[in-house]
Amino acid sequence: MRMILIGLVLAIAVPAAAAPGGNDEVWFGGTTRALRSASANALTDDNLGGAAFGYAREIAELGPDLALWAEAGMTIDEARGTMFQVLDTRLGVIDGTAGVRLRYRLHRLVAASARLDAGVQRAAIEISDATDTTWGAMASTALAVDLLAVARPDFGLGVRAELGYVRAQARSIALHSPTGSEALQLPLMDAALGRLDLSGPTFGVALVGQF
Amino acid sequence: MRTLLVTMLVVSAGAGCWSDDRPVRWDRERAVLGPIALKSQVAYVDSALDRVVLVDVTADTPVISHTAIGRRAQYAVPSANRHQLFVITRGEQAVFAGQIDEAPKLWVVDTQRAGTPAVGYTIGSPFDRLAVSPDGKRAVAYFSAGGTDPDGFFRNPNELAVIDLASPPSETNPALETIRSFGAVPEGISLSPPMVLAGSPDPTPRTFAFVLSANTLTVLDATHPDRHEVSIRLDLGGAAVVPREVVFAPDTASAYVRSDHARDVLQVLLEAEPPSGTDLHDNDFRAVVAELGAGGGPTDIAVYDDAGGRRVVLASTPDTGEILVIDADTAQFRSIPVADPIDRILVFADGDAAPHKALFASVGAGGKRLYELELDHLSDPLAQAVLTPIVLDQPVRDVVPVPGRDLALVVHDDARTVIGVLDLTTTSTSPLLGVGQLDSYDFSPDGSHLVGATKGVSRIGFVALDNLHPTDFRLDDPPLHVLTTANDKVFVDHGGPFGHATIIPSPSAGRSDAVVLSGFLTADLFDETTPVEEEH
Repeated sequence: MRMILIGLVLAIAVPAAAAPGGNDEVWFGGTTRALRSASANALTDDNLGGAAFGYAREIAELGPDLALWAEAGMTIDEARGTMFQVLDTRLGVIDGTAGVRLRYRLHRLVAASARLDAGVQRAAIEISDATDTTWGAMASTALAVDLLAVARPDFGLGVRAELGYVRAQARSIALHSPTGSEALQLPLMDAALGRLDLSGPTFGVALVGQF
Repeated sequence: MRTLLVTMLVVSAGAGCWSDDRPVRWDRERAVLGPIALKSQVAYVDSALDRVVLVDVTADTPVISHTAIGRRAQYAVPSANRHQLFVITRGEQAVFAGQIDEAPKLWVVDTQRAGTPAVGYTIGSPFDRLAVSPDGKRAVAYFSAGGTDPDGFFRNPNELAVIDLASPPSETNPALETIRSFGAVPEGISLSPPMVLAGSPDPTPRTFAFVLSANTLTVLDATHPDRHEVSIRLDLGGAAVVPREVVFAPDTASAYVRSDHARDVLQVLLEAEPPSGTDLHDNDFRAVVAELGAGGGPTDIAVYDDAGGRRVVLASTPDTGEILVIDADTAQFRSIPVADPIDRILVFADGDAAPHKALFASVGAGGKRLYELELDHLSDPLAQAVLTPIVLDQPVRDVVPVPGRDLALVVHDDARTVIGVLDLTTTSTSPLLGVGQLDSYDFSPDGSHLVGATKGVSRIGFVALDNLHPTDFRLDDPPLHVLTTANDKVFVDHGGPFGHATIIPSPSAGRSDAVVLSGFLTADLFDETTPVEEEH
């Protein structure tokens, strides 16, 4: 605790004119996505929750406090639930995205940013012992506030709070049960559950390091 | 202060947008009724999703469709021609968020016209049984037994809902009636085919409901449910007389009733009688009751129409050691002596032709003898009626007729592991040794094959009934039920919450011809919008 306080004091003591951090950034944190579609509500009452991490690099300085960053990230989320009181459900989602972030420095320790990403989403659905996995396109946008605790010219460390929205392609789900048999199987016709839409608002908090 | 207030409002609004209420349907308790074999479809009723799932096996590729019904389905029965499915839903009261207020209803699902919405009749009480007339035009909903209703408050077990299925729902359709009771509650209801009362000024054929209660038989004019019923006391002072079976002779507006602990088969003849001029709800008929036979308690009855169109009732009366052959139109009867305590009568008809053979078995006693009776000349009083015994090696525990054939499936043990096929033409029996208990079986519609399944054994067994040649079909999963449809397809239900079945095109088909259909109970689940969600 004392070290954190010392760090904060040192960070504030750094002259304001110096540009905090560097041109590269990594982040790691937690995220949650509210599942509001009828199809997602069928699977679980919970929201997606998990971890997000990524890397960004400043690619253009558009003004004294305004910069454009390119970034790539990954989000790993999960939600569990129950259908009809007896069927356990599990939803595992992995997002891989790339995009740009427009970052504006409000203060030496505070920055606001807007992000626009696109990528792919892998959704793994499990109901009882039946599973299915789909891939689909997705896009996300967010507004974020960075609060830096350490803002030296060559290194910055802080926290980012981000509120956004994910628009995910609704893909058809057809559950399959494992056969566990090497015998030739009869021709199979799976009736699809329908299209699973995992779009929804997101919120995340991440530890941000700039160098 | 203002900033704080604005912040709180923003946070509250954000939190409100963040969470949403999951529709209550996903947290309901779920029960699936079925499979129910229809003409060329197999039906399942989903009590949580409030829908009937129909798997149409007419084409090479099965087609899945849904029909929405009401809340909490609790009983389903097909029509006699298997073109319609009748479902009783209990409904619910909106106690928790997302629930809806809905009264108990009878839903009529037309399975022949895809996309046709089900018709719902508000039946007023949560009945759990339904009797449908043979012509499918009238139905009576009733309670299966006495006792309290744990989900209700008062319960009137003698209440009936009489539904005119040919008319749309209205304030008078269904009609709710409470039949006269002497302490008993209905144990079953049989609806007659359309009958015209002799001597009645009303020439319209009408349906009568025979309500079976301990010591009481109630006859209600289901075509005019607002009219008074007729109660017939059956008690003899000893053990309760419980009516069990009713067979009808519509040409004479009569019915034959077999009861446990009764002296004889009861004939109930309905005759026209002018209603009272002062009572607007008086009925226009009376029930003339006659006991047939010679005082033996009947254990089983069967009915058939002979080649001359005469309706004949066969009754077994072990107490007197007789088989009674009753002319239903005239109530004249003749008796045939038999030593064994017969309690199972089967009549064998070849297609639409008049039956020409009957088979008698003593299942309860586990007798090793069956009896065959030629019916062709039974109406000739000069012809001698003789029972031909068929002696078997093992006791008979069950006998089932093969449709359209002079064959019967004979079960020799309670576990259904030892069965035989009896050929009535040669009176010979061929034993069939199964791999296990015959848990589910059916016959192909033309009677060419017996199809059987044993739980836990991933095979379906076929027996070609022409030459008793057995074959089997290996499945990928163990079966629960096996059904045949009118188009000769074999539907093997494997159970499971998502729906899992194997459809075999014909008994002679190979594995490459079959298809496994999975997920049909939950098909389109994500794309379906419930009425509640639409309201939101």
